[in-house]
Amino acid sequence: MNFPSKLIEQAVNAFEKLPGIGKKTALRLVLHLLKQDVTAVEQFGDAIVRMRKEIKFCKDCHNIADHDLCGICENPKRNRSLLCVVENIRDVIAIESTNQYNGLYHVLGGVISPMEGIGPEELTIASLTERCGKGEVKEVIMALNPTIEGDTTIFYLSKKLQSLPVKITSIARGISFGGELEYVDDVTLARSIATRLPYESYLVKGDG
Amino acid sequence: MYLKALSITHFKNYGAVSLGFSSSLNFITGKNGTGKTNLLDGIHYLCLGKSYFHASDQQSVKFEERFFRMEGDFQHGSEPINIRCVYPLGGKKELSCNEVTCQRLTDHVGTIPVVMIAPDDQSLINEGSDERRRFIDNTISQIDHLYLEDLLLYNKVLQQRNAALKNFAVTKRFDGALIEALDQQLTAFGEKIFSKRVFYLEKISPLIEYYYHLFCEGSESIKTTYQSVFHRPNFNLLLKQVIEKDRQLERTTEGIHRDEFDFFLNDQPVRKFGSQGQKKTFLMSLKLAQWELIKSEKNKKPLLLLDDLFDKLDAFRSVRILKLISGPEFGQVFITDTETDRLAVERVGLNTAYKRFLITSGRLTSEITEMENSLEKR
Repeated sequence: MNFPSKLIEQAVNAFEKLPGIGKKTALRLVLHLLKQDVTAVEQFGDAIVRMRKEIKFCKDCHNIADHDLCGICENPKRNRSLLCVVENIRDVIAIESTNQYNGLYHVLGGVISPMEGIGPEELTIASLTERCGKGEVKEVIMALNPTIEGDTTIFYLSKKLQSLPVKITSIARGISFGGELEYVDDVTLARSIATRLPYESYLVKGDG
Repeated sequence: MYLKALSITHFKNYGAVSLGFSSSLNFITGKNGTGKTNLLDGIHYLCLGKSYFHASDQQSVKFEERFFRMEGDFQHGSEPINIRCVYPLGGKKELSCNEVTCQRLTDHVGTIPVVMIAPDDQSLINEGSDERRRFIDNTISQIDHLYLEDLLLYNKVLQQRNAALKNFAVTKRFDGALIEALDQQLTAFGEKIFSKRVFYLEKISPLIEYYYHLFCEGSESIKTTYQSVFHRPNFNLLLKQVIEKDRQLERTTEGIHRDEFDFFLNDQPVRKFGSQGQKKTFLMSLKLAQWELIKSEKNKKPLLLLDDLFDKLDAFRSVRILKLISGPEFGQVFITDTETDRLAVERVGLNTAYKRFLITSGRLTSEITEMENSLEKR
């Protein structure tokens, strides 16, 4: 694509780096901004710069925060004895939107995968063990993706936490609600049968 | 289970060609380099989603073309199964079964069971243990889908463990808990794989012996052996004991990936002491035992692809094998051969319907002609 202006080209290239944006969409966005008032565009740019500069990560759980602590960790109504370990911030948002969980979180920032150069040191594992060592936490819920790397991470964390008086649990894995058995892949189905539950515990309680 | 019709486009040396096959014997003749083996490999692609010969899909695209495409109409009882495989150069290979795209290629394995015998398979006898592991893995994967899943997961953990060992060597730091976590997974998958290998090896051994003695009337005793660290108790502990060695070598030295399979003829390893003919016969027995095992476990007759079958075999054994596989208990068979005369001779005495294809010397596959129509079944 040929651009009549170097400035336009630079702006297009910048937008194009964003996920899900191609060259044509980038150009459309740039031309749209060009039509706006200068002040409006300034506000737009400002919002992004401020977001990046001023955002903080909660010093306890590594969730995004406006202050030193995130809204969840600050909230006195949350259950401080429950800790839910997740891979990233998107997982926090997903679990929060269920409105079923009232404990705290711990964002790992990834899962262990030596092949991709992600060892335990790259994750927030040290601060997790530190948090659990303070005595307030009674149960750690592993809410990691059901992959090989997720499992490795769970095993690793349970090794690191085994000397502490915390109960370690993992979210249930298996057939999704509203799903149909015949369409479930056989690995999931086999696993669901292997890890079947006594039916009393099947009745969902809304604690947490 | 048989392949009714096949159309291939831009696959290896083929331009575009459509063929209809006999549900029993199919002879494919032609001179060297005309594409007989490629036709079999195309069928193999539809069955297992990959080439029998090489790992790279790129090599299977016709020279100067940008994609290959294959479509096969299979018939299983009264149920038609349409398999399509498309690979755009540089893109993602897509395989669909009855118009439904397979999310993962491994899901497809076992739908259309297949056994292929190629001259290069001699390596199964002659070479190291990894060839024989692949043979066993291929057999069990076609029978038991979860076996393949576990095997893939085991290999993933193994790669992670090896990567971790390399990282330790570079950073000069060691994290025992990480290795322990990986060992735990390695042990869990390893045990599952081991127990299935034991289970199916016990089933396939007598079949190998049966077929071997069918081909040569002798009294040689046949034995298959399986050595695995999992025969010893507590693999997890063993991993701990060898960790220093693993750290030095920066790879995992013990596990299911080092399992040894071996074949013995009169208590001598076939690999070392078998004659060329014995090896060839043994290979046939192995593959037919594989065919038989898959058939009885899956209740489907696998397609049998025989590349250059009569190479190295004497006339007596050739006739014997041909008679056997044209029998009613066998299903669809594809046989390639360079010499048309030999097949013509062997046709005498066969009372099965068959089709014969001639790939004419030269470049183009459209020159494949159907020489004769299937004979009436007597």
